[in-house]
Amino acid sequence: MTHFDADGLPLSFAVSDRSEKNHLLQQSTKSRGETEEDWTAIENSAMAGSDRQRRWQRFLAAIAELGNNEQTALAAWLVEPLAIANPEAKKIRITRQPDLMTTVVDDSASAPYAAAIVRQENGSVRLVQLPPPRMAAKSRGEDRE
Amino acid sequence: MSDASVNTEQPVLSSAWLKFWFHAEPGTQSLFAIRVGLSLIACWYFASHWVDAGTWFSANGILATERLGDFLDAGDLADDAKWRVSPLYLISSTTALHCYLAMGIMLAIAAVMVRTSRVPAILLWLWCLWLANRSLLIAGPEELALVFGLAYLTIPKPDDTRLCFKRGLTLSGKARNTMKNDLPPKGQTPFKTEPSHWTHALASRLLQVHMALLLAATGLTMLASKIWWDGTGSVSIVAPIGRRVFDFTDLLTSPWIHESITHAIVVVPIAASIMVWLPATRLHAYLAAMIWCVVLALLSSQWMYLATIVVLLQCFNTTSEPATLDR
Repeated sequence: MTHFDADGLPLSFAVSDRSEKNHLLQQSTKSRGETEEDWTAIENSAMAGSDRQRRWQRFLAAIAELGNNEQTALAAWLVEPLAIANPEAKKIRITRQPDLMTTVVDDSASAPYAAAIVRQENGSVRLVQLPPPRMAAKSRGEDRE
Repeated sequence: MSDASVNTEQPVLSSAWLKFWFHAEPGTQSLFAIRVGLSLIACWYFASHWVDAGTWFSANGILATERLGDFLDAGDLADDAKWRVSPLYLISSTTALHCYLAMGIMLAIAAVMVRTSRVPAILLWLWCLWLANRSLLIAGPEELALVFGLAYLTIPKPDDTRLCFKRGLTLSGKARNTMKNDLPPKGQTPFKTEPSHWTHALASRLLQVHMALLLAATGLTMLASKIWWDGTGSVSIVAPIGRRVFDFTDLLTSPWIHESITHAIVVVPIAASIMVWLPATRLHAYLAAMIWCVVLALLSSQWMYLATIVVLLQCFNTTSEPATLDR
Protein backbone atom coordinates (compact mmCIF):
# COMPACT_ATOMS: atom_id res chain seq x y z
CA MET A 1 0.00 0.00 0.00
CA THR A 2 1.52 3.32 -1.05
CA HIS A 3 0.33 6.85 -1.62
CA PHE A 4 -0.27 5.99 -5.26
CA ASP A 5 -2.17 2.77 -4.92
CA ALA A 6 -3.83 0.64 -2.31
CA ASP A 7 -3.43 -3.08 -2.69
CA GLY A 8 -2.68 -2.55 -6.34
CA LEU A 9 -5.82 -0.49 -6.86
CA PRO A 10 -4.79 2.90 -8.22
CA LEU A 11 -6.28 6.04 -6.69
CA SER A 12 -7.14 7.25 -10.18
CA PHE A 13 -10.63 5.65 -9.99
CA ALA A 14 -10.45 4.27 -13.52
CA VAL A 15 -7.86 3.37 -16.11
CA SER A 16 -10.32 1.33 -18.16
CA ASP A 17 -8.50 -1.95 -17.81
CA ARG A 18 -10.09 -5.36 -17.54
CA SER A 19 -9.82 -5.51 -13.75
CA GLU A 20 -12.37 -2.69 -13.50
CA LYS A 21 -15.12 -4.65 -15.18
CA ASN A 22 -17.94 -6.19 -13.25
CA HIS A 23 -17.08 -9.81 -12.50
CA LEU A 24 -19.54 -12.64 -12.08
CA LEU A 25 -19.02 -15.96 -10.35
CA GLN A 26 -20.94 -18.65 -12.22
CA GLN A 27 -21.56 -22.35 -11.73
CA SER A 28 -22.78 -25.16 -13.93
CA THR A 29 -24.42 -28.29 -12.59
CA LYS A 30 -23.67 -30.25 -15.74
CA SER A 31 -20.53 -32.35 -15.89
CA ARG A 32 -20.17 -32.08 -19.64
CA GLY A 33 -21.74 -30.63 -22.77
CA GLU A 34 -23.11 -27.52 -21.12
CA THR A 35 -24.22 -24.46 -23.08
CA GLU A 36 -24.01 -20.80 -22.04
CA GLU A 37 -27.53 -21.09 -20.63
CA ASP A 38 -26.40 -23.76 -18.17
CA TRP A 39 -24.14 -21.32 -16.36
CA THR A 40 -25.95 -19.60 -13.52
CA ALA A 41 -24.61 -16.76 -11.41
CA ILE A 42 -23.76 -17.42 -7.78
CA GLU A 43 -25.26 -14.26 -6.40
CA ASN A 44 -23.74 -12.27 -3.59
CA SER A 45 -26.36 -10.74 -1.33
CA ALA A 46 -24.51 -7.42 -1.12
CA MET A 47 -26.21 -4.34 -2.56
CA ALA A 48 -24.74 -2.82 -5.72
CA GLY A 49 -22.25 -0.11 -4.83
CA SER A 50 -21.98 -1.20 -1.20
CA ASP A 51 -18.72 -1.80 0.62
CA ARG A 52 -19.55 -5.48 0.87
CA GLN A 53 -20.01 -5.77 -2.87
CA ARG A 54 -16.82 -3.82 -3.53
CA ARG A 55 -14.82 -6.30 -1.44
CA TRP A 56 -16.45 -9.23 -3.27
CA GLN A 57 -15.63 -7.65 -6.62
CA ARG A 58 -12.00 -7.05 -5.62
CA PHE A 59 -11.71 -10.70 -4.68
CA LEU A 60 -13.20 -11.89 -7.99
CA ALA A 61 -11.00 -9.43 -9.90
CA ALA A 62 -7.92 -10.87 -8.16
CA ILE A 63 -8.88 -14.40 -9.25
CA ALA A 64 -9.61 -13.22 -12.80
CA GLU A 65 -6.25 -11.48 -12.96
CA LEU A 66 -4.46 -14.63 -11.79
CA GLY A 67 -6.36 -16.61 -14.44
CA ASN A 68 -5.39 -14.14 -17.15
CA ASN A 69 -1.74 -14.36 -16.13
CA GLU A 70 -1.90 -18.15 -16.34
CA GLN A 71 -1.50 -18.51 -12.60
CA THR A 72 -4.38 -20.95 -12.48
CA ALA A 73 -2.94 -22.97 -9.60
CA LEU A 74 -2.94 -19.84 -7.46
CA ALA A 75 -6.42 -18.92 -8.65
CA ALA A 76 -7.56 -22.40 -7.61
CA TRP A 77 -6.41 -21.71 -4.00
CA LEU A 78 -8.86 -18.84 -3.87
CA VAL A 79 -11.72 -20.52 -5.76
CA GLU A 80 -11.61 -23.71 -3.68
CA PRO A 81 -13.72 -22.42 -0.73
CA LEU A 82 -16.30 -21.12 -3.20
CA ALA A 83 -16.53 -24.56 -4.78
CA ILE A 84 -16.91 -26.18 -1.36
CA ALA A 85 -19.65 -23.71 -0.44
CA ASN A 86 -21.68 -24.64 -3.55
CA PRO A 87 -21.97 -28.46 -3.34
CA GLU A 88 -24.24 -28.81 -6.38
CA ALA A 89 -21.74 -27.12 -8.72
CA LYS A 90 -19.86 -29.34 -11.17
CA LYS A 91 -18.01 -26.49 -12.83
CA ILE A 92 -17.20 -22.98 -11.74
CA ARG A 93 -15.96 -19.92 -13.60
CA ILE A 94 -15.45 -16.20 -13.34
CA THR A 95 -16.57 -14.00 -16.21
CA ARG A 96 -16.44 -10.30 -17.00
CA GLN A 97 -19.67 -8.57 -17.82
CA PRO A 98 -19.69 -6.42 -20.94
CA ASP A 99 -20.29 -2.71 -20.45
CA LEU A 100 -20.19 0.57 -22.34
CA MET A 101 -16.41 0.53 -22.60
CA THR A 102 -15.94 -3.04 -23.83
CA THR A 103 -15.61 -3.96 -27.48
CA VAL A 104 -17.00 -7.00 -29.30
CA VAL A 105 -13.54 -8.57 -29.06
CA ASP A 106 -13.49 -8.03 -25.28
CA ASP A 107 -16.97 -9.48 -24.91
CA SER A 108 -16.17 -12.59 -26.90
CA ALA A 109 -13.07 -13.41 -24.85
CA SER A 110 -13.23 -16.62 -22.86
CA ALA A 111 -13.72 -16.59 -19.09
CA PRO A 112 -10.52 -15.62 -17.27
CA TYR A 113 -10.89 -18.63 -14.99
CA ALA A 114 -12.97 -21.78 -15.46
CA ALA A 115 -12.53 -25.12 -13.74
CA ALA A 116 -14.23 -28.46 -13.30
CA ILE A 117 -14.78 -29.49 -9.70
CA VAL A 118 -13.70 -32.93 -8.56
CA ARG A 119 -15.20 -33.68 -5.17
CA GLN A 120 -13.42 -36.02 -2.76
CA GLU A 121 -15.15 -38.25 -0.26
CA ASN A 122 -13.75 -36.29 2.68
CA GLY A 123 -15.52 -33.13 1.47
CA SER A 124 -12.47 -31.46 -0.06
CA VAL A 125 -12.37 -30.52 -3.72
CA ARG A 126 -9.85 -30.43 -6.55
CA LEU A 127 -10.16 -27.99 -9.38
CA VAL A 128 -9.18 -28.95 -12.90
CA GLN A 129 -8.81 -26.05 -15.28
CA LEU A 130 -11.13 -26.14 -18.26
CA PRO A 131 -9.57 -25.42 -21.65
CA PRO A 132 -10.88 -22.32 -23.44
CA PRO A 133 -13.75 -23.16 -25.80
CA ARG A 134 -12.67 -23.98 -29.33
CA MET A 135 -13.79 -21.80 -32.19
CA ALA A 136 -16.53 -23.39 -34.26
CA ALA A 137 -15.53 -24.01 -37.86
CA LYS A 138 -16.89 -25.72 -40.90
CA SER A 139 -15.59 -26.16 -44.42
CA ARG A 140 -16.48 -23.60 -47.07
CA GLY A 141 -17.86 -26.44 -49.15
CA GLU A 142 -20.70 -26.86 -46.65
CA ASP A 143 -21.75 -23.25 -47.16
CA ARG A 144 -22.04 -23.72 -50.89
CA GLU A 145 -24.24 -26.74 -50.42
CA MET B 1 0.70 38.17 15.52
CA SER B 2 -1.24 39.98 18.21
CA ASP B 3 -0.26 39.81 21.88
CA ALA B 4 -3.46 38.01 22.69
CA SER B 5 -2.47 35.07 20.58
CA VAL B 6 0.91 34.58 22.26
CA ASN B 7 0.82 31.33 24.12
CA THR B 8 3.25 30.46 26.84
CA GLU B 9 3.16 26.74 26.04
CA GLN B 10 4.53 27.34 22.57
CA PRO B 11 8.26 27.21 22.00
CA VAL B 12 9.97 30.23 20.54
CA LEU B 13 10.39 29.33 16.91
CA SER B 14 12.75 31.34 14.81
CA SER B 15 12.84 29.70 11.42
CA ALA B 16 9.90 29.63 9.03
CA TRP B 17 10.34 25.88 8.69
CA LEU B 18 9.86 25.27 12.41
CA LYS B 19 6.97 27.71 12.57
CA PHE B 20 5.29 25.92 9.70
CA TRP B 21 5.35 22.59 11.47
CA PHE B 22 5.07 23.46 15.13
CA HIS B 23 3.45 26.85 15.60
CA ALA B 24 -0.24 26.59 16.47
CA GLU B 25 -1.78 29.85 15.33
CA PRO B 26 -5.05 31.25 16.65
CA GLY B 27 -7.86 30.32 14.29
CA THR B 28 -6.18 27.13 13.16
CA GLN B 29 -8.85 24.54 12.52
CA SER B 30 -9.38 22.30 15.49
CA LEU B 31 -8.98 18.61 14.76
CA PHE B 32 -12.16 17.90 16.68
CA ALA B 33 -14.42 17.98 13.62
CA ILE B 34 -12.03 15.65 11.79
CA ARG B 35 -11.91 13.35 14.81
CA VAL B 36 -15.71 13.12 14.92
CA GLY B 37 -15.92 12.54 11.17
CA LEU B 38 -13.27 9.82 11.12
CA SER B 39 -14.80 8.13 14.16
CA LEU B 40 -18.15 7.96 12.36
CA ILE B 41 -16.46 6.50 9.28
CA ALA B 42 -14.59 4.01 11.48
CA CYS B 43 -17.97 2.89 12.89
CA TRP B 44 -19.22 2.53 9.33
CA TYR B 45 -16.10 0.57 8.39
CA PHE B 46 -16.44 -1.91 11.24
CA ALA B 47 -20.19 -2.25 10.69
CA SER B 48 -19.68 -2.92 6.97
CA HIS B 49 -17.59 -6.00 7.89
CA TRP B 50 -20.23 -7.38 10.27
CA VAL B 51 -22.26 -9.56 7.88
CA ASP B 52 -19.31 -11.03 5.97
CA ALA B 53 -16.71 -11.31 8.75
CA GLY B 54 -17.22 -15.06 9.09
CA THR B 55 -17.47 -15.60 5.33
CA TRP B 56 -14.06 -14.03 4.80
CA PHE B 57 -12.00 -14.61 7.93
CA SER B 58 -13.38 -17.57 9.90
CA ALA B 59 -11.72 -21.02 9.98
CA ASN B 60 -13.78 -22.13 6.97
CA GLY B 61 -13.81 -18.68 5.40
CA ILE B 62 -12.62 -17.71 1.96
CA LEU B 63 -9.55 -15.96 3.40
CA ALA B 64 -8.96 -18.30 6.35
CA THR B 65 -5.51 -17.81 7.84
CA GLU B 66 -4.16 -21.24 6.90
CA ARG B 67 -5.50 -21.07 3.35
CA LEU B 68 -4.17 -17.54 2.88
CA GLY B 69 -0.75 -18.62 4.18
CA ASP B 70 -0.67 -21.53 1.73
CA PHE B 71 -1.74 -19.19 -1.08
CA LEU B 72 1.02 -16.70 -0.26
CA ASP B 73 3.63 -19.45 0.01
CA ALA B 74 2.53 -21.03 -3.26
CA GLY B 75 2.68 -17.68 -5.02
CA ASP B 76 5.99 -16.71 -3.40
CA LEU B 77 4.19 -13.64 -2.06
CA ALA B 78 5.01 -14.06 1.62
CA ASP B 79 7.69 -11.34 1.49
CA ASP B 80 5.21 -8.82 0.07
CA ALA B 81 2.72 -9.53 2.83
CA LYS B 82 5.12 -9.79 5.79
CA TRP B 83 4.39 -6.24 7.02
CA ARG B 84 0.66 -6.83 7.09
CA VAL B 85 0.75 -7.69 10.76
CA SER B 86 -2.55 -8.29 12.52
CA PRO B 87 -3.74 -10.28 15.54
CA LEU B 88 -6.82 -11.12 13.49
CA TYR B 89 -4.79 -13.84 11.77
CA LEU B 90 -5.00 -15.67 15.09
CA ILE B 91 -8.80 -15.35 15.32
CA SER B 92 -10.92 -17.86 13.42
CA SER B 93 -14.22 -17.78 15.31
CA THR B 94 -17.02 -15.70 13.83
CA THR B 95 -18.17 -14.72 17.32
CA ALA B 96 -14.68 -13.49 18.19
CA LEU B 97 -14.56 -11.54 14.93
CA HIS B 98 -17.88 -9.91 15.78
CA CYS B 99 -16.53 -9.03 19.23
CA TYR B 100 -13.54 -7.39 17.52
CA LEU B 101 -15.85 -5.33 15.31
CA ALA B 102 -18.07 -4.36 18.25
CA MET B 103 -15.01 -3.26 20.21
CA GLY B 104 -13.90 -1.23 17.20
CA ILE B 105 -17.21 0.62 17.17
CA MET B 106 -16.93 1.28 20.91
CA LEU B 107 -13.38 2.55 20.45
CA ALA B 108 -14.57 4.91 17.73
CA ILE B 109 -17.07 6.39 20.19
CA ALA B 110 -14.48 6.48 22.96
CA ALA B 111 -11.97 8.28 20.73
CA VAL B 112 -14.40 11.22 20.59
CA MET B 113 -15.74 11.10 24.13
CA VAL B 114 -12.56 10.36 26.10
CA ARG B 115 -10.01 13.08 25.55
CA THR B 116 -7.97 12.82 28.72
CA SER B 117 -5.71 10.24 27.14
CA ARG B 118 -4.30 9.28 23.78
CA VAL B 119 -5.08 5.61 24.44
CA PRO B 120 -8.54 5.44 22.75
CA ALA B 121 -7.24 7.23 19.65
CA ILE B 122 -4.20 4.94 19.39
CA LEU B 123 -6.31 1.83 19.95
CA LEU B 124 -8.84 2.93 17.33
CA TRP B 125 -6.03 3.49 14.83
CA LEU B 126 -4.58 0.03 15.57
CA TRP B 127 -8.03 -1.59 15.41
CA CYS B 128 -8.60 -0.18 11.91
CA LEU B 129 -5.03 -0.95 10.81
CA TRP B 130 -5.25 -4.57 11.94
CA LEU B 131 -8.55 -5.12 10.14
CA ALA B 132 -7.15 -3.46 7.01
CA ASN B 133 -4.06 -5.69 7.20
CA ARG B 134 -6.24 -8.78 7.61
CA SER B 135 -8.33 -7.79 4.57
CA LEU B 136 -5.69 -8.99 2.13
CA LEU B 137 -7.06 -9.02 -1.46
CA ILE B 138 -10.25 -7.21 -0.48
CA ALA B 139 -8.96 -3.92 0.97
CA GLY B 140 -8.97 -0.71 -1.04
CA PRO B 141 -8.26 3.00 -0.86
CA GLU B 142 -10.82 3.60 1.90
CA GLU B 143 -8.64 1.70 4.37
CA LEU B 144 -5.61 3.72 3.31
CA ALA B 145 -7.28 7.11 3.90
CA LEU B 146 -8.95 6.05 7.15
CA VAL B 147 -5.79 4.57 8.64
CA PHE B 148 -3.47 7.49 7.88
CA GLY B 149 -6.10 9.99 9.07
CA LEU B 150 -6.50 8.16 12.38
CA ALA B 151 -2.72 7.90 12.74
CA TYR B 152 -2.34 11.69 12.64
CA LEU B 153 -5.11 12.10 15.21
CA THR B 154 -3.01 10.22 17.75
CA ILE B 155 -0.46 13.06 17.73
CA PRO B 156 -2.28 16.02 19.42
CA LYS B 157 -1.92 16.42 23.13
CA PRO B 158 -5.16 15.07 24.63
CA ASP B 159 -5.92 17.99 26.95
CA ASP B 160 -5.89 20.37 24.06
CA THR B 161 -8.53 18.56 22.05
CA ARG B 162 -10.57 17.83 25.16
CA LEU B 163 -10.89 21.57 25.65
CA CYS B 164 -12.10 21.92 22.09
CA PHE B 165 -14.58 19.15 22.69
CA LYS B 166 -16.06 20.74 25.79
CA ARG B 167 -16.24 24.13 24.14
CA GLY B 168 -17.75 22.63 21.05
CA LEU B 169 -20.57 20.80 22.73
CA THR B 170 -21.43 23.07 25.68
CA LEU B 171 -24.49 20.99 26.19
CA SER B 172 -25.90 21.80 29.57
CA GLY B 173 -25.53 21.27 33.27
CA LYS B 174 -22.21 20.65 34.88
CA ALA B 175 -20.11 20.82 31.75
CA ARG B 176 -21.61 24.21 30.88
CA ASN B 177 -21.03 25.58 34.36
CA THR B 178 -17.53 24.30 34.82
CA MET B 179 -16.34 25.45 31.44
CA LYS B 180 -18.23 28.72 31.39
CA ASN B 181 -15.12 30.83 31.43
CA ASP B 182 -13.58 28.84 28.61
CA LEU B 183 -16.42 29.41 26.17
CA PRO B 184 -15.60 31.39 23.05
CA PRO B 185 -17.24 34.79 22.56
CA LYS B 186 -20.82 34.77 21.33
CA GLY B 187 -21.02 34.26 17.60
CA GLN B 188 -17.66 32.56 17.30
CA THR B 189 -17.63 29.04 15.94
CA PRO B 190 -16.94 26.84 18.92
CA PHE B 191 -14.61 24.42 17.10
CA LYS B 192 -12.24 27.15 16.03
CA THR B 193 -10.56 27.46 19.38
CA GLU B 194 -6.96 28.38 19.95
CA PRO B 195 -4.77 25.32 19.96
CA SER B 196 -2.24 25.59 22.70
CA HIS B 197 0.26 22.89 21.98
CA TRP B 198 2.73 22.28 19.21
CA THR B 199 1.50 18.70 18.72
CA HIS B 200 -1.81 20.11 17.53
CA ALA B 201 -0.04 22.19 14.90
CA LEU B 202 2.13 19.26 13.85
CA ALA B 203 -0.88 16.97 13.36
CA SER B 204 -2.70 19.63 11.33
CA ARG B 205 0.32 20.26 9.14
CA LEU B 206 0.95 16.57 8.53
CA LEU B 207 -2.68 16.14 7.52
CA GLN B 208 -2.54 19.17 5.23
CA VAL B 209 0.67 18.04 3.54
CA HIS B 210 -0.55 14.47 3.20
CA MET B 211 -3.89 15.55 1.74
CA ALA B 212 -2.22 17.89 -0.74
CA LEU B 213 0.09 15.04 -1.82
CA LEU B 214 -2.85 12.64 -2.07
CA LEU B 215 -4.79 15.04 -4.29
CA ALA B 216 -1.75 15.65 -6.48
CA ALA B 217 -0.98 11.93 -6.72
CA THR B 218 -4.58 11.14 -7.62
CA GLY B 219 -4.65 13.71 -10.43
CA LEU B 220 -1.19 12.88 -11.75
CA THR B 221 -1.86 9.14 -11.71
CA MET B 222 -4.87 9.76 -13.94
CA LEU B 223 -2.62 11.35 -16.54
CA ALA B 224 -0.95 7.96 -17.05
CA SER B 225 -4.10 6.59 -18.67
CA LYS B 226 -5.36 7.75 -22.05
CA ILE B 227 -9.00 7.71 -20.95
CA TRP B 228 -8.33 10.85 -18.92
CA TRP B 229 -6.91 12.55 -22.01
CA ASP B 230 -9.53 11.51 -24.56
CA GLY B 231 -12.47 12.48 -22.35
CA THR B 232 -13.89 9.03 -21.64
CA GLY B 233 -12.65 8.76 -18.04
CA SER B 234 -16.00 9.64 -16.50
CA VAL B 235 -17.74 7.04 -18.70
CA SER B 236 -15.21 4.43 -17.58
CA ILE B 237 -16.11 5.18 -13.97
CA VAL B 238 -19.84 4.73 -14.48
CA ALA B 239 -19.59 1.86 -17.01
CA PRO B 240 -19.62 -1.11 -14.56
CA ILE B 241 -23.23 -0.38 -13.64
CA GLY B 242 -23.51 -3.66 -11.72
CA ARG B 243 -21.23 -2.08 -9.11
CA ARG B 244 -22.85 1.34 -8.95
CA VAL B 245 -25.74 2.69 -6.90
CA PHE B 246 -26.74 5.20 -9.59
CA ASP B 247 -26.68 4.63 -13.33
CA PHE B 248 -25.42 7.80 -15.03
CA THR B 249 -24.69 6.19 -18.38
CA ASP B 250 -27.62 7.97 -20.10
CA LEU B 251 -26.61 11.34 -18.67
CA LEU B 252 -23.05 10.96 -19.95
CA THR B 253 -23.93 10.04 -23.53
CA SER B 254 -23.47 13.63 -24.64
CA PRO B 255 -19.77 14.10 -25.51
CA TRP B 256 -19.46 17.61 -24.11
CA ILE B 257 -20.88 16.48 -20.76
CA HIS B 258 -18.64 13.46 -20.23
CA GLU B 259 -15.59 15.22 -21.65
CA SER B 260 -16.11 18.26 -19.41
CA ILE B 261 -16.58 16.08 -16.34
CA THR B 262 -13.54 13.98 -17.25
CA HIS B 263 -11.25 16.96 -17.59
CA ALA B 264 -12.63 18.56 -14.43
CA ILE B 265 -11.98 15.33 -12.49
CA VAL B 266 -8.32 15.51 -13.55
CA VAL B 267 -7.73 19.25 -13.23
CA VAL B 268 -9.40 19.83 -9.85
CA PRO B 269 -7.17 17.63 -7.66
CA ILE B 270 -3.96 18.78 -9.35
CA ALA B 271 -4.91 22.46 -9.13
CA ALA B 272 -6.34 22.15 -5.61
CA SER B 273 -3.17 20.51 -4.29
CA ILE B 274 -1.32 23.75 -5.07
CA MET B 275 -4.07 26.32 -4.56
CA VAL B 276 -4.84 25.24 -0.99
CA TRP B 277 -1.48 26.74 0.02
CA LEU B 278 -2.20 30.16 -1.47
CA PRO B 279 -4.22 32.59 0.68
CA ALA B 280 -6.25 34.04 -2.18
CA THR B 281 -7.36 30.72 -3.60
CA ARG B 282 -7.47 28.41 -0.62
CA LEU B 283 -11.22 28.65 -0.01
CA HIS B 284 -12.00 28.10 -3.69
CA ALA B 285 -9.64 25.13 -3.86
CA TYR B 286 -11.15 23.64 -0.72
CA LEU B 287 -14.70 24.02 -2.07
CA ALA B 288 -13.72 22.66 -5.49
CA ALA B 289 -12.10 19.62 -3.84
CA MET B 290 -15.26 19.01 -1.81
CA ILE B 291 -17.44 19.17 -4.94
CA TRP B 292 -14.95 16.89 -6.70
CA CYS B 293 -15.45 14.32 -3.93
CA VAL B 294 -19.24 14.52 -4.17
CA VAL B 295 -19.24 14.13 -7.97
CA LEU B 296 -16.83 11.20 -7.82
CA ALA B 297 -18.82 9.54 -5.03
CA LEU B 298 -21.99 9.74 -7.13
CA LEU B 299 -20.24 8.41 -10.24
CA SER B 300 -18.08 5.71 -8.66
CA SER B 301 -20.14 4.71 -5.59
CA GLN B 302 -16.90 4.74 -3.56
CA TRP B 303 -18.78 6.28 -0.68
CA MET B 304 -16.52 5.39 2.20
CA TYR B 305 -13.29 6.47 0.53
CA LEU B 306 -14.63 9.81 -0.65
CA ALA B 307 -16.44 10.48 2.63
CA THR B 308 -13.08 9.97 4.35
CA ILE B 309 -11.43 12.39 1.94
CA VAL B 310 -14.19 14.97 2.60
CA VAL B 311 -13.57 14.67 6.34
CA LEU B 312 -9.79 14.93 5.94
CA LEU B 313 -10.13 17.96 3.66
CA GLN B 314 -11.51 19.83 6.69
CA CYS B 315 -7.88 20.40 7.64
CA PHE B 316 -7.91 23.16 5.00
CA ASN B 317 -11.13 24.70 6.29
CA THR B 318 -9.38 27.25 8.45
CA THR B 319 -9.70 30.93 9.17
CA SER B 320 -6.04 31.33 10.02
CA GLU B 321 -3.50 32.94 7.76
CA PRO B 322 -2.20 30.90 4.83
CA ALA B 323 -0.14 27.87 5.63
CA THR B 324 2.93 28.86 3.70
CA LEU B 325 6.55 28.50 4.65
CA ASP B 326 7.49 32.12 4.03
CA ARG B 327 5.45 33.65 6.81
